[in-house]
Amino acid sequence: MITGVSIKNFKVFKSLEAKGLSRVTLISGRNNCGKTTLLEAIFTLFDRNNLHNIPHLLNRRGVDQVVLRPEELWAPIFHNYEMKEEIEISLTKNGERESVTYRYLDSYPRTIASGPVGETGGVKLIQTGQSSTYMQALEMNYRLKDNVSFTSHCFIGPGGLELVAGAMDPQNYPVAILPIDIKTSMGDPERFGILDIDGKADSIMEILKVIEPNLKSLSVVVRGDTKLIYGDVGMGRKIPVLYMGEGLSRLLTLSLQLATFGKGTVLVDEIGTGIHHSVLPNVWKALFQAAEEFDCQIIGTTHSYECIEAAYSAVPPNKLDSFTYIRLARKGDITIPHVFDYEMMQAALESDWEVR
Amino acid sequence: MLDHESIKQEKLLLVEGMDAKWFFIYALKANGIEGVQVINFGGIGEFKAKIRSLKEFDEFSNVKTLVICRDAETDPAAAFQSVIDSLRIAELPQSRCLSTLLWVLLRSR
Repeated sequence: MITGVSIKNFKVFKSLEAKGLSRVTLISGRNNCGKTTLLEAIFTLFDRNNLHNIPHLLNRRGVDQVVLRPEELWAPIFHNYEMKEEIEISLTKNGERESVTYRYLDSYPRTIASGPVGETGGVKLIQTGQSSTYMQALEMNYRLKDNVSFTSHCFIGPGGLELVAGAMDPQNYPVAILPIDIKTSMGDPERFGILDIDGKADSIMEILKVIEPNLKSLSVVVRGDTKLIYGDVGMGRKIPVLYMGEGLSRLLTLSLQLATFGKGTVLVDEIGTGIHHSVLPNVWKALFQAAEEFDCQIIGTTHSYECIEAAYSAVPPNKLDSFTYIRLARKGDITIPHVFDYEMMQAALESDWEVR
Repeated sequence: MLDHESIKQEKLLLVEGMDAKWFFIYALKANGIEGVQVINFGGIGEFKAKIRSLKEFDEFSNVKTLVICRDAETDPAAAFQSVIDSLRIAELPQSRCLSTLLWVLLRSR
């Protein structure tokens, strides 16, 4: 479980240090205070040795294509687009610290093979006039638990974006970030298949029934190249869960992540979106239960007072330390995380104080 | 929709219960004193959580004067000390000027 986060020079954050994250952590704050960026920072530390690590961050923000040059590809993840500063993201996970630093290199030496240009009498010939080649690169220096560290380089080469991985990644802690746009969550049928094979499909039914009490069963239906999860709600035929509304679809995606992940962290942007306020307390109860049952952590963001209240109200009485609320506030260039434990939330909400 | 309460003034008067809150609101008004926000911290048992929570609000950094008013009940010294202990636990910011005054109300016999 991730219990602390420290970020320097990453996107909106000049500096941020937040401690006290727990089984369920809810993050709020004004627009552009860094809620989603906090999730992205956590995710990017675990998305190691992935050539598309940084492009994925841009894609998540709606940028489908980008010009292959550092100013457009990498500068957006640096605070104020300032690539001279190093980015540092570090976490405390299960009591141990893991970190990554990103450093922009405008002259990364890269070996280019010089292939034979001809052959004379069985002897291969090469060109002699080649000069050294320097690339622009992003250096990623990972320091992980058990003193494991390695450095990878992502660079802009003649063939496009390339990666030189510094080492095999010993990563065994699953972290997923759930998109706001549920249509992009393509792994749901596979995850449901795993759960079904393991005989645990019923475990997510209880969560979904909070929103759709008529739901009797779920199944994966394959049509051509498309796989979809269908649900039986007593209409005489099954219909795609996607047609049952945004809230149910998002809850399905989240439940499947929790149920198939094991001891990992699921990051959810705008966690209450699409769910009516009247069912939010029961949805949160189900999520607390699922997080506990599957030994998984949920870190979500929200703008909604109702969502915050509902999460607080659903904290199990015997697990008051399983909930943390963090409100991010910006003061100039500095981001301050205001961390509330259960007792502090109780004090604030019972007094009807503005906690968002 | 009603707005949730937030810190709006640089001077806060924290009082015990709604009766005390309304008493002080009207007492301040009657005496022409402006710029003081009266906040009910509930029962004294809730004070520690309330002050820990209150100091996490953005606007708390603007507060210059904090007055805490509580009932002495049967032991004025203990009442005083319990508030001091709660303030210590809350770890109010030391890096700026924040005047804190504790006012323990004795019961008349």
